[in-house]
Amino acid sequence: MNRTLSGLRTAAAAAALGLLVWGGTAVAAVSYQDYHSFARVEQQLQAWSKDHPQELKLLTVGRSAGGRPLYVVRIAGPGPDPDGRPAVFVGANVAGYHNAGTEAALDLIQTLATAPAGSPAAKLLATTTFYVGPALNPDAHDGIFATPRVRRGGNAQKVDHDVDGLTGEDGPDDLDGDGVITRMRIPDATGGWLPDATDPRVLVKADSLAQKAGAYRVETEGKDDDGDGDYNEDAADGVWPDRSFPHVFPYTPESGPWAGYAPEARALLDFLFERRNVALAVVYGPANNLLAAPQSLGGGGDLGTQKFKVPPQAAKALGFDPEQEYTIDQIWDVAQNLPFVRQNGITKEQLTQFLGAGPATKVDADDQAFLDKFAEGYKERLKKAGLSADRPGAQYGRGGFTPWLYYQYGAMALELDVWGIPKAEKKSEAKAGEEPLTPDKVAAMTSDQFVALGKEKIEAFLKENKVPPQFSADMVIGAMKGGQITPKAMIDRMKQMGGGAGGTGAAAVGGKPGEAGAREREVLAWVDANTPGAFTPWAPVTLPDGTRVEVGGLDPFVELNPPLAILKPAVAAHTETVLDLAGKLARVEILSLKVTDLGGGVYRVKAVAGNRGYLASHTKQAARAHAHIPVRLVLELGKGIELVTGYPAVTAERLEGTTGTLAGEWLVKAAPGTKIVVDLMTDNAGHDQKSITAGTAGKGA
Amino acid sequence: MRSHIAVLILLLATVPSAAAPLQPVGKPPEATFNRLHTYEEISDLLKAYAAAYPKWTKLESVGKSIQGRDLWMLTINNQATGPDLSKPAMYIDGNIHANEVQGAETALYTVDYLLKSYGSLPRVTEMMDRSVFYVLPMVNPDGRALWFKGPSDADFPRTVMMPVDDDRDGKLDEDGYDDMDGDGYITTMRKKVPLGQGTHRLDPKDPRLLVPVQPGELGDYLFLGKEGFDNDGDGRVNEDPVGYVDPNRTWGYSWEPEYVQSGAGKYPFSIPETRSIANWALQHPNIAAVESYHNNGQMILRGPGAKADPPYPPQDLKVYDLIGKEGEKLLPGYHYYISWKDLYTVHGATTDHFYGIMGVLAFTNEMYNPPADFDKNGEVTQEELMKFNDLLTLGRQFVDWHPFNHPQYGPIEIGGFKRDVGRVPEGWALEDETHRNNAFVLLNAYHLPRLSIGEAVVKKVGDHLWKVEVPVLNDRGIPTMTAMALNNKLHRQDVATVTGGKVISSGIVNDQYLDKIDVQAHRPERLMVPGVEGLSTRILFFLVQGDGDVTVHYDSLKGGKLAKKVALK
Repeated sequence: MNRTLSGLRTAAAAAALGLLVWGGTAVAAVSYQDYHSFARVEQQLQAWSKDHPQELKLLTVGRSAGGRPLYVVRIAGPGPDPDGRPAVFVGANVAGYHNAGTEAALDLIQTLATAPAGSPAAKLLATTTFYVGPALNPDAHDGIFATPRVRRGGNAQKVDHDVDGLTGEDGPDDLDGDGVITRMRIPDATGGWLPDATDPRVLVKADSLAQKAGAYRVETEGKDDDGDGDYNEDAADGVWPDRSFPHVFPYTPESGPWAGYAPEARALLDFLFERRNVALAVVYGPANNLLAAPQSLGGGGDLGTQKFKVPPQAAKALGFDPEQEYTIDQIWDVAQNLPFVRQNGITKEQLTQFLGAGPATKVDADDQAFLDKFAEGYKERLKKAGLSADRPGAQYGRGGFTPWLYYQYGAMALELDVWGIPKAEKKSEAKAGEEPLTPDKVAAMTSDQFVALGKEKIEAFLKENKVPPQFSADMVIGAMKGGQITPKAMIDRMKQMGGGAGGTGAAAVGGKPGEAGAREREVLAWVDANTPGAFTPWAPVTLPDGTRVEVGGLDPFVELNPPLAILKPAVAAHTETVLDLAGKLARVEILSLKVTDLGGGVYRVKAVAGNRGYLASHTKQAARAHAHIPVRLVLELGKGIELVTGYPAVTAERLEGTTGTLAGEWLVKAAPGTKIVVDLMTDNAGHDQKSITAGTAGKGA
Repeated sequence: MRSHIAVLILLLATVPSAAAPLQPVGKPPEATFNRLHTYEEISDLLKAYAAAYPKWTKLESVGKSIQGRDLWMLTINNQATGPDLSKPAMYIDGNIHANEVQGAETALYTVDYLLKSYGSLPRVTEMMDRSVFYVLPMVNPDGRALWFKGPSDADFPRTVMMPVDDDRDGKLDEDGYDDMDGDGYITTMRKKVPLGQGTHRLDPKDPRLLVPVQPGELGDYLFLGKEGFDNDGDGRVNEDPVGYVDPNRTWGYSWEPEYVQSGAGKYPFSIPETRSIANWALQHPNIAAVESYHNNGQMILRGPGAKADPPYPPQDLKVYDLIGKEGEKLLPGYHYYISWKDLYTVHGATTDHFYGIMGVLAFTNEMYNPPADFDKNGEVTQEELMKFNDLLTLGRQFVDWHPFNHPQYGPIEIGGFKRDVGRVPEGWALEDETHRNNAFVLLNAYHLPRLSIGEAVVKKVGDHLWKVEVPVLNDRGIPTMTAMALNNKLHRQDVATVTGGKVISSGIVNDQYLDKIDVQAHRPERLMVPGVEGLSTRILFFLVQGDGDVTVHYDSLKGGKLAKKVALK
């Protein structure tokens, strides 16, 4: 930071440069003083745990690189072993700059801790445990309150971001002294950016086709402290915990040298692996998987379509052509009934591993179907609260917490950004009396329904949603008829192309070449109307080396963290969402237990277990990854009960919600009147026990 | 002061050494390399070497195993030529797999050999004066302890002692192997059954062996696998023994979870053994070559461990090939191989970690193959192994079949090869194997980067303005920065600076005759040099303002620090 710079920050000077001036009056920057600093989070958690000692237990699950505690609050109703009940994990602000998530997590804790007896929340707590970590990147957490305010995702570990042998030698500087690190544009004919014609505050990419030449290079606000020609390339920002998890680990200076290197990430890995009762995980972070379906992060293979060559020796044993390629299903169909495979208990997963299939890269279709259902309810709830349900949702990144929770830990996992700048109201071009055609409506249509809309409506829809002109109505209709694309896949693609919320603003992406994108305009329009201080008008500053630059742009926090008054309704809607989802967890129970007297002191015992929860006992991905032990239905032996044949346990890798069942049948020798006990065990979907007395003609107890 | 030390190093490195053999304090340890040693024995020997050569060695525990055993690391460094971090280093480890025991003896052999050869073998003296050896003989001490004590066999235990629920029944390590006959060995079980119920029959040439039935035959034997009961009554035998986190699947590079790579553990370095070493290695960026000892198969392996990993850059392959192919000559019967292609896919292995994350050239030697290919057809059969047992070990290796009444299988027979057969040489062959692998390690150490600054070319280009071109020679095979490290920015580049004058501009000379120079656009006083490749020269360019003498300093993480005076005239 250098406060001796010759900042020329007057409206007149800016006007002389032909830049947009903010009405001539200074506007105060966004204030976050009513958000919770890490110290206030700590005080609040300690106070709640004192006020609600029965329900709430404050756990310190590790320490940040800077030595700060990582808090997780366990909330559970009375009863034995809260760590054995199906559980929901909610983790907030692992990103470090998503303080809105912390506010939402605190609200959830308060709602649960203060739930009046008999309320739905209190009832939920009788069967479901919550683990809530409201501030999981404490070293970065207070960046929003710092002077200058600077976006930071890393912990206190030392990182040489530019790998030049020096650490933290060139961070950003508050050149204009406004207390916020925004952007800096440097007049530079090779820079590749120019002001947008309609809104010169926005910078757009130079484009030769549109005859728009570059005028600026765009950097974070700050001087080149180490004189290496790069600006602010080595800030005192450490390893990003939200890049330090092991699914598709990115191997960058920010991620650390290996997954789990950030102590925050490792503490969470250990904490969660010690608690296999977590069935659902919600991360409050910059991405939103219910507004935009999660995309593949790449890295491995997709089992459904990936094809494999069978190694020559195995091919010979299995009867495959070693030159041909087969899918896993084709190979398993043949392999599963071979004596060698059956006798050695070789599973499909082991075979998959042997063939080198690699990790899963896509959310399994069955799991995604549940996420889609969640998304429906979520959007309804947002609308009811007056919030935008069709704004873009960002994607989580490589090495992120959420993808690890899903792909490796095996939870039904989603990330929610809590709040985002709403989509601007659109002038509907629909005729009177006709409902406007929204992307969500289209996504719900079949291909036939969509084609039936007719070319004119489809054309209008594509135009309204700014689909590039090369995707004509004719082309889309052809693709639908040919089965190459479905309405839902098309909408996903559109959202993907127009997405990108969570960027730092000023520099535009998307839109037509050489023009600002719709989203950038939307963001600025919202900022103008609601938080005008969050945009710093471009104003000239001279750097110590004489370079004349302009400093300005969006506050680096505002797109994820609105003023608290604006955030509040979104927080309430998210607490409701989490409580609603928590009620959908799998619940296994023994549905029936019967005993039949076969004579000679031999009885047939038959038990049927089922899952009467909404979600499956395990996600499809958890089943593939063997993340949990299977559902086990076990006959208790001893105490006068002996098996005539067979073994006490039957298992199922996964029980579907509502309909999934598992039956066990045993032949036992027992004296009449002996109590027969059957246990049902899972690690994340509850457990059950039932007993029946031999010789009582099938009456379960 | 630094520059003086650097000049001294240079002198020692280039002038034939007049160093005398090391004088031990008291009697030096006399390790024997014709037998295996327990964890305690190796630990005691390391302590004894450290006590006998206190000026040259440092023994430290870099961490504790899961069961609390020390991970001993012995550093061998000539303090007279500078602290360890200022010199290129060779890292050697062994016995990461519990049952691959002789890696520890082989690593220890290098300790013994170096300390006892200094001053008498010029080639060894040169290496020890200019480089450092970090030796960690037992990466998996808990596993080693269990292998020696039993129950164990040639393949078990392999992993560290982290309990894992292998059969996913909610219980940990509840059904392992059992030494049912109490002879101290886990061997195998077979059962004679009525003709037609078996999958095997006796080998007509040797009834101690079973052969699978061929099409058209009936069998009268069942092969029941390793010695053990169904301890937990689930209808499966030995399905959840102690272990299974394979430490050589827990390293950071290209790590994949358990369902992709069995033995991976929960996340990279979820076990203390490899985590301690990786954290230690992060603090030792001077490591420029790595050897990790395994058995078996007689292979000199390099990565990539997985087909999906990025291919190796050609500059690095040149060095790998140089050492790997030379190694085949030192190790008769060994093949220089690529892990994923010639062996199998591995994610999270030691050598991939060192190369992919630390940017260091790394080999895995898979030691030993039973020398029993009597018909020289390239395959060692069961019959040949039995012949080796009978004629060369006079029956020592095989436990003859003897009857046992098994609670699940009824009357069976127990018998088979002992734990130290198949993967470990007999004592009389062990010393040969340790020496040859040591020779391969010393070949690596010989090729650690060796830098020298040659004669500078100085040209006057104006008043007090000089164009200075300084050649930096690496006359050994390993680069100061691998292409892997350079391409992926794994560590900082070498740094060249000038004191005694002002640097106006600097760069790297691409063609000294045609004056082609890559000028560094910014910060000329800190010239970033993308390393000096093996057996090559990098010419540095400085435009210097000043008069008289300037000093050129070269600072390489893996090539050491050196300096040279240049007269501006």
